[in-house]
Amino acid sequence: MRCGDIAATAIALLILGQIQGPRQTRVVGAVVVGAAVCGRIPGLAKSQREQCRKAPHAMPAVGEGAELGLRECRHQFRHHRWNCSHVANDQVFGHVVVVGSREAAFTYAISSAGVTYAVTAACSRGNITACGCEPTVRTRKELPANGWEWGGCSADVTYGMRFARRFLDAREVEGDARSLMNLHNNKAGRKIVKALLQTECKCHGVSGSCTVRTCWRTLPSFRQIGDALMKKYYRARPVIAITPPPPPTMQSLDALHSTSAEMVPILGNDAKTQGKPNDVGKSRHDRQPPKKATRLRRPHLVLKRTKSNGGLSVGQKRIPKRSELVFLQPSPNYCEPDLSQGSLGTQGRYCNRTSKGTDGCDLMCCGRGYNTHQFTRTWQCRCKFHWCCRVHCETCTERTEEYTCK
Amino acid sequence: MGPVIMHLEVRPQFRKVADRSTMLTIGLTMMFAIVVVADPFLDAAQEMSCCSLAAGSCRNVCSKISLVVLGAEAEARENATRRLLEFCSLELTEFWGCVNSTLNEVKRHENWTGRGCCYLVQNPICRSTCALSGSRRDLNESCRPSDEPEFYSCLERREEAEDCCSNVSNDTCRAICQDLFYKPGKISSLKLYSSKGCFHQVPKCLKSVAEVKHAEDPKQHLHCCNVATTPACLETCKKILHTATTDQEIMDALTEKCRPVLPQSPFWSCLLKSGSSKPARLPLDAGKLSCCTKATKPSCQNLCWRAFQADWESAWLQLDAECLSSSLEGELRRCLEDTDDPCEMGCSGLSYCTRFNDRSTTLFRSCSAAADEAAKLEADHWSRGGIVRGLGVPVRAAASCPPETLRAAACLLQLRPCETKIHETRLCREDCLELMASCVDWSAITGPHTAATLCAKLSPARSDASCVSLRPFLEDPQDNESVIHLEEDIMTPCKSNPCAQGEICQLIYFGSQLYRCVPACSLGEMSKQLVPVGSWVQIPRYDQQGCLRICQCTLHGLEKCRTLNCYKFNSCWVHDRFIAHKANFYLECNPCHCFEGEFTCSKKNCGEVRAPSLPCDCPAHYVPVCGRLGFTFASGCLAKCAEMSANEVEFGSCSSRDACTSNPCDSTEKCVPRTRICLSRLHKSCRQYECIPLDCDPRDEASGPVCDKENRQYRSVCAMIRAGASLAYRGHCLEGCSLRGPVCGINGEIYANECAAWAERTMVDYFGPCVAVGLISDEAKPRCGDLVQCPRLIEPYCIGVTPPGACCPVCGGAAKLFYSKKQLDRIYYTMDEDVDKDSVTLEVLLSALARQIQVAQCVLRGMMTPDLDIFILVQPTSKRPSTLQLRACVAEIEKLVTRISERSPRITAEVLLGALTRAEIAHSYISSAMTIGGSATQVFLGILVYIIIS
Repeated sequence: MRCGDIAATAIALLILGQIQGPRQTRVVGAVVVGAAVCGRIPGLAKSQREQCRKAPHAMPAVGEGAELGLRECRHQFRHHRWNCSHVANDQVFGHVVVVGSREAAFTYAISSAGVTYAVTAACSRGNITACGCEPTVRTRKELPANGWEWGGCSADVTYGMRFARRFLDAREVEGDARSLMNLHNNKAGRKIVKALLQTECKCHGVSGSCTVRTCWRTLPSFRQIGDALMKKYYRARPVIAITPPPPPTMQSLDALHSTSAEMVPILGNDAKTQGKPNDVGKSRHDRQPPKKATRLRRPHLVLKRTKSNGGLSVGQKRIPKRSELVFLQPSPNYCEPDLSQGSLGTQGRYCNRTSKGTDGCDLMCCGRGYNTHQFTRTWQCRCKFHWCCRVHCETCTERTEEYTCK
Repeated sequence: MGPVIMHLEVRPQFRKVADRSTMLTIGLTMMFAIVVVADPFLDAAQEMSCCSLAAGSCRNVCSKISLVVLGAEAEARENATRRLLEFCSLELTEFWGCVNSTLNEVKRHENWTGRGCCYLVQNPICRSTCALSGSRRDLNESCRPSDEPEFYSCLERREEAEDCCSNVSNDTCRAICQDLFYKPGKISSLKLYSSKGCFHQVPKCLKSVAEVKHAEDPKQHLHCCNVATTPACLETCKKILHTATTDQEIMDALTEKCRPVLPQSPFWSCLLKSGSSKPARLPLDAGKLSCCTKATKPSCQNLCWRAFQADWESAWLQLDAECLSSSLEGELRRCLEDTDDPCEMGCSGLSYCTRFNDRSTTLFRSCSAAADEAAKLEADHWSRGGIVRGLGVPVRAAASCPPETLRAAACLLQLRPCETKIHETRLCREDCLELMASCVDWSAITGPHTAATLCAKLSPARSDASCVSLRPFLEDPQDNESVIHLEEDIMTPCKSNPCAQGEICQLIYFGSQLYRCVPACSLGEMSKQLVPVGSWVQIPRYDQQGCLRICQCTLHGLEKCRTLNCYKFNSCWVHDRFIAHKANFYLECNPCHCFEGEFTCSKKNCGEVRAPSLPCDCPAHYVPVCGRLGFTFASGCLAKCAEMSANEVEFGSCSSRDACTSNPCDSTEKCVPRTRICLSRLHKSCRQYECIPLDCDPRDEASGPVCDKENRQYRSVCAMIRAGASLAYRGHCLEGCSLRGPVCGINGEIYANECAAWAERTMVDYFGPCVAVGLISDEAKPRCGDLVQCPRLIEPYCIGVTPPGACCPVCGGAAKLFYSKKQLDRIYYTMDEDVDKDSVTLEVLLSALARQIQVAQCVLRGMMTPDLDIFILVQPTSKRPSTLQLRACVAEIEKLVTRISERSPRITAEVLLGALTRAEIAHSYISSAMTIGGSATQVFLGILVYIIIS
């Protein structure tokens, strides 16, 4: 339904563009160079290339977002053994994380957040034509009474999320456990951008007493999003994918009702239904036996039983929350290079000799020891200006040491 | 080739087996040995572990051999064997056994076309599987299509090639055929294909692959070359865009020289953006955007453009802080305020700011219950000793300050009353100083602050600047008369906007309803300003400042956009000097305005004795001629004076001609008269009729209702034709007008009755057919002497005017509007459909102006003057109006004049109104001075006659 709307808008905009364009004549069958670039961007899946051709002007934002995510990932993990490097890392799009680990979860979530963030920001800057201000904010009536009103132009995060979902989720075609995990983490990445939107207000009037205010929503800094995702990384949940048993007979249907109710939200992991506002209503509607049976037989993720939640009965808690990161496999220790595990090892990494944390040489180098490099740094210092016109500086030196893992 | 190293190749099913590590790490559950030593589970196919069976230089050499390469090329296998023989001792039987079995394994499926794609694989596990596989099926377990899009599309292409080219019998041709698939776009191979004599063997499937797609005007992207990061890229870019014709060629060259292809890099980002048919996005607020040229500082202008085009979030706060509080940018500030909160008449129903109630002819920017509430909160905050921060220094209210003053000040700041000249809302300097002196707790202020420094933010610096005084609001409204029946007297039903979202409120003058809601478009996502469906708006262009686009408001939003024109800000050459664009100046006694190389002046006679006269000193003879543009001149002299040539006029007034007599419509259509006054001289023929198809749908209400000669109303022209009636006028049948006729309108046209005149937004000059033309003068009095008996004034002493060229004075507010003829010509030229061209008329302009009127008891009427200026009147709807109603109408016209002369976005947003350059008040006080000379008795008699007849 929503896709249809977008398509219609896109067509309308295209027609509008044709009218507005200075050149009314177009070579029949000609290819716009912008769209041809889409064929050459490495790492895009087929469906992503299609989307790129439809809206090439949005692609710089997508690229920016993916890079933003990658940079933030490297920043967050700069002191960890895994420093957000991947075995095949020559492209911004289409990161390949071999193992479905916690780190994979973070990688997917942060790049999804990055794309959501960059597309939303591009909307605000006017670089994407199909979006502008967040429309829902303006019509919302739930305002505090005292001289508060929504105004200005709020960040169009709905569009950013929709775009990121359509673009990034299009890649996950397998429908296996790993696909479900990636889709879930993509979603968590998008949601965190929305959850961290900030409300900014401007007071009216000269008096500055702020009795009347106009408020709008803006994007936070991406660092805040990275920090929040990092917390989610530590609390990521292990999951397994299950395919529910074939549809029960009519007699046992009632008995299974509680289980089926809990299984509904996970269907949101599917790229097609994800993020729709009527998700819940729809799935409720779908509890008619014939439809439900087919839908519920799709595989979905449930939390793995661990010691902490193993005691729980088969209840609602088994479904991971949409905002949680989930992973399927345990992480390797990332000490030694093992490409099949997505590990590049820590040889040659800088470490901090005095730190007790993960950046400390003990942990970073996995007990292999470290090399110490001593060098002298020299630079010009205490510069003085002599009239006229000479500058005299002294040379300062400092001995420093660097440690790299063996 | 990829960096994958032999000893790392591990079959996935064995991944979890080999945990030989003794690393002392915490918390990690699984570890994998980097060296997979001779494991009992390893089968022969696991040859890449072979390297681990060797040591030293042999192992080194071994580890540099890529399995993928081995799989793809027989030559590489030979090379590898040679090198291994060179460095590895033949005694390593285990090693050689392993190597041999691997080579055999690799060779087994060497014919699989997919081998050539293995180098594209990213995932190491998938990669080694690929190197040994013999079909796509073998990949299923170790490869994920979603991770390897490039690899899988390579596979697909090769399979396609296989299918397509297998029918080609000739070996060379088959190889070239496949090559075409592998490297699409190399036209040379297609040429090669034909040159090798393969042309007759081109399979059908190949044609689609080899099809050349021409790039669309590659030179348009040349500007992108300038952002290339390397000289090689820059050079290639310039060369290829000049010479290449297909996008394939272009892309091949660019991807080679401008690596990597990252969409976010400046060069590629430019290409992605430049080629796409990206429609220009409408600005966030077109009304506010049109204000930006009013900024005096370039930096403010720039911020303004950014804030209201798209980048509101980052630019607005800065604009607000740096520009809007500065006294230099008063014009910009007022203009921006006009878009959201224009100055509108009257304020009532306030519970806190009671002294602001019942000031029905004072203008306010935000008279609302919310503002009232905010004023109360604000005053409470002050009186509690709260700190006022908006003045630059924290300020506290003095305890000695009279609460009434505090209340008035808070209300003034929130309700924002406007003065009339330029709609300024800032407090007068004197009042501010007084307020500061009495109400600020000076003991709490540190530093060199005085009342004057504090007032710098609140009030204009210059003493002669327009401003709002606080004093009148310290007392109750004096005009007791106006207070009494205010509610019934004046109503502004559209003020609180009773309509739903996306609808605009319009006053109506028939039936019991005072207003109706019509669908409208907003001037941007952020804009609160609305225009009704059907009207044309003009939008400043961000990409080319000074240029305009015009779009029509339809039910689907703003559409049919096209470029109107760009102002070059040409100055005007007047006699012997240049006058800047948009500057005001005087020519003798007449104020003038320069607009884009064209100046418009008011046309008063500047002689010593200001005798009433006609343009070009034409004699006051009434021998009407009808001009080509649908407008009647009282004499040929006046037509000539208005630069109408003899063949552009016909004798007789326009209203006396029936456009339908010449049968201009098809046989399947019915001709219905429709009078128009066209504003552009480019208008070839100003059609005075419309053709209604005989098979029209009477229920189609697009044309609006009509009234027939029997005063019966029909929902459409079509319905009237079906009923066999004939048209009296368009619009609802009007009430309150006399049906006696004929009458002479102030524009010199004859109408069947008063209702017909009103329906065309004009009014009756006198009863009976037109017989005279009045001399033009500033004084409002009868101008036609004995020839005409003027009807009695609705009020003997009133503010009013004698419309230029008309005979009799009328009560009401009046103004003369001047416009840019060139701009109207441009607008006409830009419209390409006939329907749209017909909207460049006086009727459309007057109804756009009428939408600015808020008081339901006032109606706007207008006409063209003999000088071809536009004359407008705002009159009470009632024939027995109260003094307050009359005053409200005068205030309405004053508001309108200020908006036009200030070029408020309320005016400039609409295309036709945007062509208005100047406005001046034309009304004055009509007193009993009507009785001048010998005409006194006649006027008196005339009135008597009128009374008797009516």
